[in-house]
Amino acid sequence: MVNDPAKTYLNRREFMARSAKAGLAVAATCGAGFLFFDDEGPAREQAGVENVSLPDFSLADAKGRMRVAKGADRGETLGLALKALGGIETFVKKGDAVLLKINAAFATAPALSATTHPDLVAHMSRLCFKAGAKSVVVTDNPINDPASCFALTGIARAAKSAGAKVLLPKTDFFRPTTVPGGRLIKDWPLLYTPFEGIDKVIGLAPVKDHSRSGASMSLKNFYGLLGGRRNIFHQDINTIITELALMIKPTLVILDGTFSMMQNGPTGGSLSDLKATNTMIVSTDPVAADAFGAGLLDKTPQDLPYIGRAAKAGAGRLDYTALDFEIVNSVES
Amino acid sequence: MPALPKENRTETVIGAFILVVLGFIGLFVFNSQSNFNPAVVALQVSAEKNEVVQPVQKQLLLTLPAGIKPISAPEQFDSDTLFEKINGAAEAYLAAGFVELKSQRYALVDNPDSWLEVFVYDMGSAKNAFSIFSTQRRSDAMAINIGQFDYGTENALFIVQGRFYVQIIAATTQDELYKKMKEIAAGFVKTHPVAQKKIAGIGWFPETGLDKKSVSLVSTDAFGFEGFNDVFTAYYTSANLTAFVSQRDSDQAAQEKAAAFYRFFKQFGGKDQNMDISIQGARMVEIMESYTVIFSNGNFVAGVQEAQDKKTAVQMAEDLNRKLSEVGRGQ
Repeated sequence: MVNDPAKTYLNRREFMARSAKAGLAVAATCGAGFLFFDDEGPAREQAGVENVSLPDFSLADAKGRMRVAKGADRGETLGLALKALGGIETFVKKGDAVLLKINAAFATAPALSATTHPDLVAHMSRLCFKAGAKSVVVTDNPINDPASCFALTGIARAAKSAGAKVLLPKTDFFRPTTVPGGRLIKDWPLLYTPFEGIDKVIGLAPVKDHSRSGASMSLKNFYGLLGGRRNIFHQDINTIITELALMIKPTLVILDGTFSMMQNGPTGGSLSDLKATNTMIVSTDPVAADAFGAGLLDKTPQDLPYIGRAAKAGAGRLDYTALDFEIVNSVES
Repeated sequence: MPALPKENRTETVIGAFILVVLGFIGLFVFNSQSNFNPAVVALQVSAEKNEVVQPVQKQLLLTLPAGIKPISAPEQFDSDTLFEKINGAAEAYLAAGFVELKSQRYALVDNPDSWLEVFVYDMGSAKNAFSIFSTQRRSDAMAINIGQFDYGTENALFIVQGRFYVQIIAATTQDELYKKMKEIAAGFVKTHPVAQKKIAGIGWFPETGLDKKSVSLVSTDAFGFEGFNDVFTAYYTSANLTAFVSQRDSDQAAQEKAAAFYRFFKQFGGKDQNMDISIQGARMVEIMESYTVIFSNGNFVAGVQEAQDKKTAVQMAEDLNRKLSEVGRGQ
C-alpha cells in the first residue's frame, strides 16, 4: 500500500544514478565479451600433431586440358581420351609413385554406379604401370566399414589384379590440415599418409546426382579425403566443395559418365536411377570436368553453385570451351 | 511526469537471482568455449572410427527364408551416425523424421556372389516413412503387393510397413535372388503388422485423372519454398500438372502460408494473372510459361503447379477445392 509517495517513488537524482549503474553494467558485459572474443578460435589441443598441406600435384605445362570420349567401354574411352591428351606418359613418368583417389563411399555393387567402377580402377592402374610408374596406390576414406566398401565395390580385387596397392584408412593416416583462406577446413583431419612419397594424383569419380550439392563428380570425390564428422559440412556443401578444390590440385581427373546416376544420389540403389550416358571425361582441370559433367545430369554448371564458386576461387575454369578441349569421338551407333 | 516506483526487497532479490544465473551461464559458455574445438573432435572421431563400425548386434536382423545366409553382421545407426552408412543421403532421411537404421547383407547359400542388402529405416511414423518412400519413388516402379506401400525395380524392392521404410537392394539382377528378396519382404511384413493402413493426405486429391503412384509427401521446403513442410503433391496425367495440399494448424496459418507462397513466386518473377474462379482469395501467377494457382480452404493450403494453360489450372483448382471441402466436413 502506498502511503507516502515521496518515500516510494524515485526522484530525478535516483533515476539518473540507477540509469548510470545499468549503463555501466551493460558496458561491462559488452567489454567482457570483447575481451574474451577470439577470432582465431581455440587452439588445437593435440600436442605433437602438426598441420599438413598437400603439395601441388598438377603439371605446370599441362594445365587447362580436357578431352571427352564417347562410348560404353570404359577401357576404350579412357584410352581414347588419354591418347588425345598425348598419352598417359604425358602425366605419369618412369619411376613415379601414383595415387588414385577413387570413390568407395558405399559398400554397394559396381552395377549401381555409386562408386568408382572397378574396371576403371584396373585400366587406370595398368596404364600407370605401362607408363613406368613404380607404384600405384588406391585409396579413399569411406566412413563406414572401409574393408567392405573396397571389397563389395570390386575395387580391391580390380586394383590387386592390376598390381596396385589398396590403402584402407587407418587412424594414424590422418593429420590436421587447413585450407588457406578457408572457412570450413581448419585444423581438419586429412587422409594424409597415403600421399607421402606420391608424385602424381589422379582422381577417378563417377557422375552422380547428390541430394545436397546437386551433383557428386570430380571435386566432390575429394570429400573422401576428409576424416572426422565431416557430415556437418553438408549444411554448407557448396563451400566445402569449393574448399576441397583449393585443398588439392590433382595431376588429372577421370570423370566416368559411362553411366550417370540421375536421381536418388549419392547412394542410388536401383538400376533405374542410372542412365547410360556413355561419356568419359579426362581433364587436368577438375572444375572444367564437373562443368562438362553437369550436362550428363541434365543440368547446367550454373545449376551447381560450387562449380562457379570453385572457378571464382581460382581452382579451375567453368567455361571448359575456353580450355584446350575436344570431344574426340562420338558414340557408335 | 509521474516518478518511477522505487525498488522493493522482492525486486532486489529477483534481480540478484537473475544476475547470479546469468553469471553461471557466462561461466558455462566460457568453459565450453575453452574446451571445444570441432577439429579436435573430428580427429578423435577418426581415431575411434574402427570402434564405431563394429556391429552392435550378433543376431540376425530378419527371419530368413531357406537358401539365404547372412554375409555380414547386422549394423545399426541412429541420427548421429546415419551419415556413416549413407553419407550425403542422410539429410533427406533426417529431415523426414528418421529414428534408426538397421541393415545387414545376405547372399544365396549356393552362390555368394548373388548378394543383397536389407535396410530397415525406422522413420518414427507411417507418415514419415511414406514421405521418404514417395519422394524416392522410381519411374519404372512396379507394384509388388507386399507391404502397405511398395514397389519393385529391376534389382530392388522398396516397402513401407507402418513406421518402417524397407529397402532390399540386390547386387545383381537374378530371378532366384529376386524371389528371395520378395520372401524376405513378405517375412518382414508378416512380423510387423500394422493396424492403421491409411495416410490421410493421400485421400485429399480428386481421383479423376490422378496418377495414384505419383502421390508424394514432401517433408521440407516443398517447391524450394523454405518452411513449406508436410506438403502432399500429386500429378495429373491428362491435365499435365501437379496439385498440392498441406494441412496447417489453423485456418489463419493456412491463409498466411498461401499468401507467403504467392509472394515467393512473385519474388522470383511471377506475374499476376486474372482468372474466373469460384475459390475466394485464390491467386494465379504465371512463371516460366506455366500457371500456378494458390488458395486456402479451412486449414488447408492448396493449389496447382505447372499448368500449361489457365483454363486447366482453374478447373483443377476448383476440383481440388471441392474435394478439400468434403474432406474438411468429414473431419
